[in-house]
Amino acid sequence: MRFLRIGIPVAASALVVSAIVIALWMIGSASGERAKFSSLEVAPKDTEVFFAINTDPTSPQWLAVNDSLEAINAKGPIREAIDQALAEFDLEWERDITPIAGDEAFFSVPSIEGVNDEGGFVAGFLIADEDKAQDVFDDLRTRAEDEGEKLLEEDYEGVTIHYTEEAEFSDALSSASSGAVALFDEVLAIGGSADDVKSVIDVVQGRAPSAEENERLQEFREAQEGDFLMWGYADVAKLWDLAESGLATSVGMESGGSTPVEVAPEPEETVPGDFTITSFDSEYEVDPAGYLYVTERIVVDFGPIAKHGIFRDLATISTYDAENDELIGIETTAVSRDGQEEPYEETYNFDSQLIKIGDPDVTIEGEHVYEIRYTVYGGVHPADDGASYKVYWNVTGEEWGVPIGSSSATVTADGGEIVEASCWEGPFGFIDPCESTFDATTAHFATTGALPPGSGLTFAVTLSGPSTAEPLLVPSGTFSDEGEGFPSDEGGSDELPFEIDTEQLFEQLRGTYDRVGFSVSSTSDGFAFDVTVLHAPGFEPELAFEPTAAFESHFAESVPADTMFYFAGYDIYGQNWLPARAYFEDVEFSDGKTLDDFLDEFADETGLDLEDDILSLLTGEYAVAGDISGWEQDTPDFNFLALLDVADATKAQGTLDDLGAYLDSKDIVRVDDDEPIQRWTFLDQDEIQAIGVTVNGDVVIAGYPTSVVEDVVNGLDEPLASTQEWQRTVGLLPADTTSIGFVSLARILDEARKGDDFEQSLEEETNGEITLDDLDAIRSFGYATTIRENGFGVHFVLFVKDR
Amino acid sequence: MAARVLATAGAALLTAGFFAPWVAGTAEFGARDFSGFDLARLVRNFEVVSTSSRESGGLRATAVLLYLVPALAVNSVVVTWLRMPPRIASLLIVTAAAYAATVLFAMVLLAGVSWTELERELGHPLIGIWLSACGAATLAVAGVLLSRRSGLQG
Repeated sequence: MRFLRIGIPVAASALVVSAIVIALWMIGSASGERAKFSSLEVAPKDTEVFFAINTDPTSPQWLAVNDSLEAINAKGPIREAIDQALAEFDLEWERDITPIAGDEAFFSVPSIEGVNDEGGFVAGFLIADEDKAQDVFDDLRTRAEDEGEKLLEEDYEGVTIHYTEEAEFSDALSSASSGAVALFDEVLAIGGSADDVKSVIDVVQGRAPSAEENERLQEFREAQEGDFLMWGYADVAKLWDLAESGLATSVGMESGGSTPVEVAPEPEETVPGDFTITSFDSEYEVDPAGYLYVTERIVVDFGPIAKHGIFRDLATISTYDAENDELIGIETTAVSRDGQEEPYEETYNFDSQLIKIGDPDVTIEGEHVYEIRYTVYGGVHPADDGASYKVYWNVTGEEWGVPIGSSSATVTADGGEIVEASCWEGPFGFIDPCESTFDATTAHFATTGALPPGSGLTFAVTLSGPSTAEPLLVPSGTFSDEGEGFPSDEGGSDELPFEIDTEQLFEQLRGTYDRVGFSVSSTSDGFAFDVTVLHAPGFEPELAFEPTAAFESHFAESVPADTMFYFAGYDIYGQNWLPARAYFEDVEFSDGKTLDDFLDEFADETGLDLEDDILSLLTGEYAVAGDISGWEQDTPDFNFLALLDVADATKAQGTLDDLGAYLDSKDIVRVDDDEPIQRWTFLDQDEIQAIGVTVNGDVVIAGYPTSVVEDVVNGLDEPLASTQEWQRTVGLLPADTTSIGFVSLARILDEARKGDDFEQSLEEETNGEITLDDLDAIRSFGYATTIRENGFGVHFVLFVKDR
Repeated sequence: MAARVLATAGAALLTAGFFAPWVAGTAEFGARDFSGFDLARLVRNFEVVSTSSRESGGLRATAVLLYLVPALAVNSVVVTWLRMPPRIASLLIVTAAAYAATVLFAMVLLAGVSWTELERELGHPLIGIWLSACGAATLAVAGVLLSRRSGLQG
């Protein structure tokens, strides 16, 4: 009885306590996960580029990042670097950043076409603590005002939007909104303009739909099962439209040409007589390796009109010949005005590089001398026989809207002698010759008088001697439909073997890469970076580059544990050969041959039917693996293995025999048939003396040296599949892989450690902050592809072992 | 009756304090306040990313230890309403108070001394921890009162 009097109440208490703990446990577990994709609720529906960022430092994702960084002793240095970066903006992490970091933040571009200097993008932060965020917000505002920044306010639907106004670069009299911000309803919205911020206010206050209602984005969101550090989405369809329209409107440029000098204001705003270019003189130092070192001196007279500076627009695509365009690389090295360094910005358009020269806060009048130095890779065209080369260059461009008083160009040769020089001036077409003189080392060109708006100066110089320049050529149809260019007697040396139909190409690109999404996530084992590509709804790619059959890589059981790299795929015949064959079946190559012609030639030459004797056997897994050791030696040791599942082992053995006999007959290899492994000794080869080849069961194995093949045939004590690195890396990758790759960073570090130089240089480079021991925790890198509904995925992972 | 009222008030204070901010966060948890419940949840998040079963078990146990604070407090109220021998009831109530006091003291200690890792993550104690401490003290008084009653009865 006494037992019951005590036992029942104690049992009841235990029950009560247990029930409460379990309830709290369950509530805590559920709410421990942050609200994934909560930022979609406040982001505007229309979005072509969208990033969501996990901003909850207590989420398992960030806790795992902390763990991983600690494992490689990087947490401290990274924190210091962040603090230093923030300090440059007078910000502190705890004071200014964490109060506005709630569950998630987003960055969105509603329309790629709509992005400009005045906005077109918006970011939003879900606030962790609105009171603290308000304090930070007020503090930042006060500090900005103390620094003399003029902040303006606009009330919109009960919310105060703060924004700054700045003069537009090209016109001191007009102004544009330059950044706007509003803190309201536990959201901090930051936009390029007040209108951008208003779009978020409308969503939060229920007047506009949110990104949750964007169906194209939702398809990606639903595919994101786990939590993430960062998640992104891009609607690529519009990009293809832009790229195609950009190509279609690209005007064929003079060979090696530069587009016109466009002096502020913007070209369309240019009024003849607004200002003039008094002179435009350039110097070109020609490097036969393909470089031009350019110095331009442009004397501009703004007269009494206040201006900020000039624009220099340089073409990055030019017509090479009737069949090819040349891609031009440009690197600006220095810009000055009246001998003093002048600020400049560079922007990269589709077919040009714009150098925006001047200080937006300073206006200038009268005459000024601008000097621009840049290096060009392009415009140097070797002759077919290699005995000479030509340089074509458009000095001024021809589409500017103001006159040029005079223009000249001086060309000096670093290699070879100048044997011919000529120049042209005038509008597009450049048919009027100008003044040119030259000797063996220097050529000089000058206009005969002033150049009216729309005219320019172009020169051509022929130099004797060899050139190692390799013009970057693409078929002219790829970049321009017009392409009426400067005549060239150089043939297209880098032609593709078949023509590209740009319309069809874009149709394929648009259909194949309709939307792209990515996520970065962390786990207790490391990091994962996943990319997903979706095709346009209902689109079937003609050339299916993405594999479609998932498999589990069993060859990891057949390669040694100390493998440095490993790659495996599946069904070469069905997934690669057949689609490629179907795609190229009707293609006529440049020499008039078809794919069947090439196959016939192969059969005639080798006696083997490429499709029936070789490719049709490859319907299972294939893998390559290797290892490089002895890095400190002059010639490192290496080994590799190739393994192929074959559908018919007897036929495969026959093919190997025939192939060996063919190579033997051509004196390429000497075949020694040492059962069970054939030894193929390469003749005239110093590095690889002999490889071993065999058919073992249903697997063809080839490897160097032959001992690695013997090891596989005899069975390995410790295969790659048994290592922690392989198992944990595979564990981080998705299960339904259609190809898989593995790199043992641990092996690489082992080898690096054997030499003194690497460790020493690593410590020197990082001021002793990173040592090889720190990197020990980074064990392996993995890669895989997967098939997704109406698309495919590419996945990269880094296995970081906990200390 | 006084013991029952005091036990209820103490449990209410303790439980309310458990859900109010206990400590301020620092470093990467800066500008965040953590209640007892938040701390248990944070421990569970650490468990998600732990790499060993031993570490995982330790974290799980820590979360349970924290959840026991309000659970024992609520139980203190329940036992005062059950027809339970006062001596046992008082023992359970005093245990709940002592347990809460131990956890709260440990929390202040862990957040304040430099030889624990938590000192880097957790800052100064906040209102919730003092509220819980008051609740624990009230519970203790209730337990003592009940114990005296049981003594008289005994």
